[in-house]
Amino acid sequence: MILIITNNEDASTNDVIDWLDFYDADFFRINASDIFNYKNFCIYIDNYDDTKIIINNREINLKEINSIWYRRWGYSFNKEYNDIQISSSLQTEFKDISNYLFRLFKNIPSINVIEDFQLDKLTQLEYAKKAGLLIPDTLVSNKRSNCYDFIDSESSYITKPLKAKIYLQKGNDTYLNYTSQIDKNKLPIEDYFFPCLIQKEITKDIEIRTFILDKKCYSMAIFSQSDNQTKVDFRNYNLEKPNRHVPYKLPDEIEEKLLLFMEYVNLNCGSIDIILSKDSEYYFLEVNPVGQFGMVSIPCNYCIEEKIALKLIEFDKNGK
Amino acid sequence: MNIKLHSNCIPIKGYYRSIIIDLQRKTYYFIPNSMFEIIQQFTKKRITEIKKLYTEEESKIIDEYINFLFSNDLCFYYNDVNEDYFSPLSFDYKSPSKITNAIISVKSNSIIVNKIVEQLDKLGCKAIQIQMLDNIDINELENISHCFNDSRIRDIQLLFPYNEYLEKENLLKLLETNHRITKLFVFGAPNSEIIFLDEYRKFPVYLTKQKIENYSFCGNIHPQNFTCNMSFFIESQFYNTCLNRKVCIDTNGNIKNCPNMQKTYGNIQDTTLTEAILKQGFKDYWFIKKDDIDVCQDCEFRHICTDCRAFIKDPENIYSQPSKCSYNPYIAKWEGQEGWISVEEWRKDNKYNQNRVVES
Repeated sequence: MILIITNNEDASTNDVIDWLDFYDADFFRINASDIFNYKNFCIYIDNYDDTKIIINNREINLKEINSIWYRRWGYSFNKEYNDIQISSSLQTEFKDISNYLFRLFKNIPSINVIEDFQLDKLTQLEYAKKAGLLIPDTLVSNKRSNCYDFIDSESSYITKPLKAKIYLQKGNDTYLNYTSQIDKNKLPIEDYFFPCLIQKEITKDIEIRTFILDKKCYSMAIFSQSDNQTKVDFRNYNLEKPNRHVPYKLPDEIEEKLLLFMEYVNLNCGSIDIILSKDSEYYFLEVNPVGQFGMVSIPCNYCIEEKIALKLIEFDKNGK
Repeated sequence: MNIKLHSNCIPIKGYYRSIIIDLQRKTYYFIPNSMFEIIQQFTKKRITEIKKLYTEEESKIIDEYINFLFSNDLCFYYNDVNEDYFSPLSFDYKSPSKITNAIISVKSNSIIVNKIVEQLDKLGCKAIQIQMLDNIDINELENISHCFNDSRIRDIQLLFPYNEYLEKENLLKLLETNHRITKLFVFGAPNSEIIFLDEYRKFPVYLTKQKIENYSFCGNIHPQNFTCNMSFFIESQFYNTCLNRKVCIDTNGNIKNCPNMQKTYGNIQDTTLTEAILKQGFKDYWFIKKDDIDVCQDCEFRHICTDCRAFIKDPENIYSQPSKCSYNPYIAKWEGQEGWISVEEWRKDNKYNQNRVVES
């Protein structure tokens, strides 16, 4: 059986399930919310019998599961409990339940890994470099003088979070910490501050998003450069006139290096951000293991949803 | 440096003029056929080389064309280094749905709807249009839409007769609680108009004065019904843009490809939808694409236009033009526009040979 670990609102999961249905696959979907909502969830451990696990009203028999897709897994308690302390301790409880479950599933062939085992940006850069890919010069520091030493007057620089996406809700407005350009005149005046990441900005020709599954690259070019709104971070979408999203084929040499990188970081699936610079060099930025493949698959007609389904079915068959 | 059209901007040549379909931004642009010819040369030659083939006057026009393409963001400059890496868009049509859309006509009750939800789910059906011919109240509308709560249907359109007791608030509540309902059509209304149920104009209701007793209102070819998107365009390359993967059930329970077609493939009382679509002949029309159809194959709109095989100009010829189409692609005019003449008249005047080989 195939086990799908996801969130209830994830539309990409539905698209893959359509293909699993098409191929008559045996699958079971669990959503993070199944742990809290009105569906039977239970872990029973005693001195005599094997541990019993029930999720979403169904008993999970580990021997039956041959294939797992870690799509997403998260739940926000903020809305239900308007108290940051309560919601963060509930979050910790939820995390431990999740960690227990994922440890049980650890040796089952899977697509993706769960978020907790994902690599930080800095380790990613090191492995990308080891695989022979170009990376932007990067500094993480808490000291102003280090930043001044790193920044030269010729180039421009960007800053972005190492991991945390800050999602601030103030009244009707939502604030997201996109990648943004550093204004050299507005560097912190304090000598020391909270460590932040600074990266030399690569002058973009185009951005490339490459989805990798099972040693195959599916790339898409994003023409974000011609639009001031999307120049620094294309996620700052221009809805009136969206950036061009078109199929792209990376040079074989770059694809080989990306696959080597994926091997180093032990991922069989992920979405990689790349920049093609004005001087025609490819720069690795980061990999997102649970990246949105729909945003590559649909505009480029790659049908990645079917490929994910077929891979899950293959794992399931091999395990029988 | 050279120029390339973005691979999701696709030029389609018609007899009199061409269009460029922008599949990403879901719109299209008219261009003269001479511009189509120039665009075809982009792949082989540099702009400077292309211009050499033309006079200086003509070169100026080429510059205007290029300006037009850039100002609408339809093309880009590329250098020789990355020229091969911008791959063409694949026209491979893939769908996990054995049936993608269904039309059901019902009289008075929701029992039939309830009965077929599971069958449609099994086929992977995503969209359904339900036509209710009898007077209906809000409870019945609710019952019908709730039939799909646990289904894979993502898009429900409801057609029902005008009823002065149907209140705006009730309809709004129906739409707010059932996100699958995407469109409401009300027929036999006092006025033909579009009304909005909410202040944000998120929930339009389409009212028409027309009295509807069957499905014969369907099959109109009109720019309002053009669909400019990737999945439609790709499907149109190999399949019929109306009938492919469609199933219908009429008021008597007969299973058909289209409500306006005569041939039935069993009755829902004793035949499942899966059985019906596997019967010989059910899928015959699915593979008639616009490129196969007389007149349509010469029309610049052929990959954004819905087809109709139920109402055709020559019932003896299944490849003849939809009869509810009033466009003449040989002069690029719709009926009613100044200078319009029918396709038949035009062909007689121009000694048009229907059996000529169509250039692609």
